[in-house]
Amino acid sequence: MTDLSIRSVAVSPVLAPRRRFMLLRRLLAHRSFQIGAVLVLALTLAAILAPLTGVDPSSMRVRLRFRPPSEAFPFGSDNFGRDVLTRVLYGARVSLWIGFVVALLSGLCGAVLGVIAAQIRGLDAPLMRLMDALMSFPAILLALGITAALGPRMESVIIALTVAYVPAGVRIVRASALVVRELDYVQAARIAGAGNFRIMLRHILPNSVGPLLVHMTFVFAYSILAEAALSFLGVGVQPPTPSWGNIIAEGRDYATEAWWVMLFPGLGISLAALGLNLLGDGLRDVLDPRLKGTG
Amino acid sequence: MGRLIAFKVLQAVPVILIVSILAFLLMTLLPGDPAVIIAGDQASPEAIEKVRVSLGLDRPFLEQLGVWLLNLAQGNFGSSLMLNQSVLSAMGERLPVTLSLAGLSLAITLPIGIFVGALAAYYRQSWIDSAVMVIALIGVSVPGFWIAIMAVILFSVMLGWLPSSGFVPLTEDPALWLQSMIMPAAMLSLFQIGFLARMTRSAMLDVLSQDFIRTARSKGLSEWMTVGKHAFRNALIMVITAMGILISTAIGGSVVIEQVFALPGVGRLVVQGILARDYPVVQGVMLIYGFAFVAINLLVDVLYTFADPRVRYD
Amino acid sequence: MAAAGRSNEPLVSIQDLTVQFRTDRGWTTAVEGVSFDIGDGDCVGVVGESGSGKSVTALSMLRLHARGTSRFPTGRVLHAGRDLLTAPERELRRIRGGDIAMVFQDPMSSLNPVLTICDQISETLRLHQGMSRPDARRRAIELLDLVRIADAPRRVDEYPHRLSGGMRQRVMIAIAIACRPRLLIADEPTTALDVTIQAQILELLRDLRAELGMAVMLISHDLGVIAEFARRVIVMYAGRVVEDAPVEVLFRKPLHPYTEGLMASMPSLDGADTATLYSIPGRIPDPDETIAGCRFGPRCSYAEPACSAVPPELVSVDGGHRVRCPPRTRTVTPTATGARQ
Repeated sequence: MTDLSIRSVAVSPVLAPRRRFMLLRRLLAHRSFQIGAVLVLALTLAAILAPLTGVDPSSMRVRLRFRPPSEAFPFGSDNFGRDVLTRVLYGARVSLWIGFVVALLSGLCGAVLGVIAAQIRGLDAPLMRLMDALMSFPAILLALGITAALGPRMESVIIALTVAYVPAGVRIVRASALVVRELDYVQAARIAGAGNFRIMLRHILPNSVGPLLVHMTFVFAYSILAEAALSFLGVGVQPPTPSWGNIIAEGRDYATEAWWVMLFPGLGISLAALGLNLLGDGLRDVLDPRLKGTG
Repeated sequence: MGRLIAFKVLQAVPVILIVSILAFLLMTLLPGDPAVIIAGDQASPEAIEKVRVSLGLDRPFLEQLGVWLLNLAQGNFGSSLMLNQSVLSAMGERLPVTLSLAGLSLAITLPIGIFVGALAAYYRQSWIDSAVMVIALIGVSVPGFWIAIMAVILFSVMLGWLPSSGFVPLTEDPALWLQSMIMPAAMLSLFQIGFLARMTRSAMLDVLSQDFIRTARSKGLSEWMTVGKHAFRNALIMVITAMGILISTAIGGSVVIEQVFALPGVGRLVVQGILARDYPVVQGVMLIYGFAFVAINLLVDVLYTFADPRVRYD
Repeated sequence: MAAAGRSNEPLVSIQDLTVQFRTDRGWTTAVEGVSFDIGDGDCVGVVGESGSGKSVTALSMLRLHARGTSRFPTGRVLHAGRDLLTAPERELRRIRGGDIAMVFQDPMSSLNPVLTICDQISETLRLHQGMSRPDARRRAIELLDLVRIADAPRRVDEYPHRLSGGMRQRVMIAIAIACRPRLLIADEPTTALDVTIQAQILELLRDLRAELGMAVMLISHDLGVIAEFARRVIVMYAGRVVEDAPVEVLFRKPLHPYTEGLMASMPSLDGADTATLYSIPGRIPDPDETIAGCRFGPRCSYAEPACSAVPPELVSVDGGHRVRCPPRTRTVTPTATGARQ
C-alpha cells in the first residue's frame, strides 16, 4: 500500500481552475492567514511609503539627540539626533527586501535543483551529498562564513542566506517530485512520449510547488531574523544604511537612556516574522490536507 | 543492523570531504591577497612574494587543495593571525563555554517543548491549544538577541539578580556557573521551545489521528497509556528528526547570544575573527563545526533507526 | 467480567441510537433511531454501503469516536444492566477488550508500528487479567496458534510491518479474543484483504465463535460475506436500519426495496441475466441532506405519496423479521406495529 503521508504532499493533478479558486477561498477564510496577511501587507506598505515622512534617515540634528517619542519624533531620536521612526521605516525596506529576495531565490533554486535531482538519476547522489554538506551548518554560521568571504554588505547577506536555505528547498521539492513522478498520470504522459523536460515542467513542477510555497514563506521569516542577527553582529548591512538589526546594535549602547531606539526595530522584526509565520501556517493548513485542523 | 549503521557512516564520508573542499574554496573567495595581509601593507614586493611562497600560494590550485586536505587529516587546522595560537587550541579553550550554553539550553528546551506540544495536540482546539500555539508563535518570531538584551537590562541592570556577562566554568563553581549561564541559556531556548512545541504538536496530531490509537482505546487502555505509550513512541520518531535541527539552531543561536552576554565562546571567536579578518580562524572553526554537525546528524540518523523499527532492515 | 447473562436478556441492546458528528456546518446526523439486539452467541451481520452508518454504529457501542467530535442526542446501548453511552470511562474501559472487543478494517494501520506483536497482545492480558509479563507472553503465543499463525514463538517478537495483511488481521483477532469477550465486533475485517485470505479469515472467525461461544457482529458491504457468515442480517441505509431478518429469509424474500435492489445488483453465476447489471437508480444521500419522509423514497419504485410525508417506522413481520417500509409490510402481513423494544 502506498505511504499516505508522502502521497498527500502532492496535490491532485494539475488543478482545474475551479479547484484552484476553491483553494484560494479556503485560504482567504483561514484566520491565521488573514491576520498574517494583514500584518505583512501593513509592514510592506509602511516600508514602501517610508519617503512620505519627508525626513532623511541619515540627517543628524545632534542638539535633538535622545528625545523620547513625541510629536516631532514619533519614535524618538537616537544618539545622533536622527529620527528613529524614519530609520525604522527605511530599515524595514532593507530587512523586508532581503527576506523577500532570499525566499524567492532560494525557492527558485530549490525548485530547479530539486526537480533535476528527482528526474536525472546521475545527478541525484552528488547533488544531495552537496546539499547534506550545506545543511550540516546552521544557517547563521554558513551566512557568517560567506559574508566573511565576500565582505560585509547587503548583497553578501542575500547570497549567504540564499545558499543557507536552498538545501531545505531542494529536499522538499525532490521529495514531492519523487512521489509525483510515480503517479499514474505522469507515467501516462511518459508513455505518450513526452520528453523529460516537458514532464518536469508541465507535470512535476506544478504539483511539487505546494509544500515549497509554504517553505518559502517560512524562509522569508527566518531570513528576516537571520539578517537582523547578522547586522546586529556587525557583519551584515553596514551603517549608516539602516537595517533593523544594526539599529538595535547601535541602540544597545545607550539602551538605558533611550530605550525607544531598541524597542521599535525589535517590534518591527517580531511583527514581520509573526505575520509571515501566520501566513505560512495558513498556507500549510490549506495546501497540505493531512495536517488540517492545526489552525 | 550494524551493517545499516556502517552504511550510513560511509555515506557521511563524502559529505565531510565536500565540507572540507567548501571551506578551502572559502579562502579562495576572500577579497584581498592573504600574503599581503600577513606580510603587511608596507612590505616590499619581494617580501610579499616570500610570504606567498611560504604559504604555498604560488602552487597550482589542485596542489593547494591537496596540501590543505592532507593538513586536515593530520589535525592541522591552521593558526590564528590575531591570536598567537593554533585554531584548534583557540577553539578548544572556548568550547566549554559554547557547550555549556547549548547544552543547558537544550536541557531546558526538550522537556518543556515536548510536553507543551503534546499537551496542545491532545487538547486540540481548546484554549490550552490556542494558548500554547500563541506562545510558541511568539517564541519563533521574536529575535532572540533583542529579548536577550532587554532581559539583561531587566535582570542585571535594573534588578541586579543575574550577572550580565562573564563565564564561570562548571568545574570551578556549579552554582556560579548556573547563575552565569541561566539567562543566556534561557534566551537561547525561547526560539527552540517555540519550534519544538510546534513540531511536537504537529507530530502528535498526526499520530493521534491514526487507527492504532483507536485500537489501543478499544482494548480498554487508559488515556495515559494510549497517549503516553502508543502515541508518544510514534511522535518521538519525528521529534528525533527535529533534534538535529535543534542542535543546529542552538549552536547557531549561541553565536549571537555569546555576543550579547560577552561570553568567551566559539561563536564570539568567529565573529571576532571575521571583523579582524583572521581568515584561518573563521575557516578553521567553520570546518570543525562542519565536521561536528555531520557527526551529529549521523548520530541523529542512527538514533532514528533505533526508534523506528520499520527502517531497520532496509 | 460481567455476570453471565440470562438467556432471554440480550447481550447488547441498542435502542433508538442517534449519533451526530461535529462538522464545519454544525452537527450532522450520521445515524438515527437504530435499534437491534444481539443475544448471547448470536451471529449478526450488518450490511450496507459506505456511508450507511454501520461503522458509526459499531464505534458508538464502545464510544470510540475521537474526543469531542460526536454526541448521542437519543438512545441507549444496554449491556449487563448499564447504558454504555453514559457509563463512566472507568467502567467503559473494563468492558472494552474485556466483555466486548473489536476488530477493525485495515490491519496495516490498526496495529502500532513501533511495538512488537507480543507487546500489543500482552497489553490486553495484563490489563484485564492481571497477568505477569512471562505469563502474558506465553498466552500470546497460544493465541497466535489459535488464530493459526505459523511459527508463533518467533512471530510473537516481530513488528507488524514484517507480517502480511492476512497475518496482521489474525493478530488483531488474537488481540480481540485474548480476554474471551462475549461479543466480538468485526468491522469490515476482510475488506482490505485478498479474496483467498478473506475466506480463511471468515472461517477462522466462525471456528473461534464456536470454540469460545462468543457472539459476533460482522459488518460488511459485501453481501456474499454476509450470506456466508451471518445467521441474522441487519440492513442499513443512510443511517437507519431498514431491514432485520434471519439470513435465509432475507435472501429468499427480501421485503425492503433497498434490500431487493441490493440482491438484484449482485451478478449471478447462472448466467441468467447476462445483458446489463442492475443498479439501484439514484445515489446515496449526504448525511446532512434533508429528505422528507423515507430516506430511500427518491430511489424507490414502490414509493407512495405517504412515503415522503411521514418517516416510516420499523415494523415487525411474522416474528424475527422487521422492515421499515409501509407499502411492503402492508401487503405482506397485517401484524402489530411498533415492535421496538
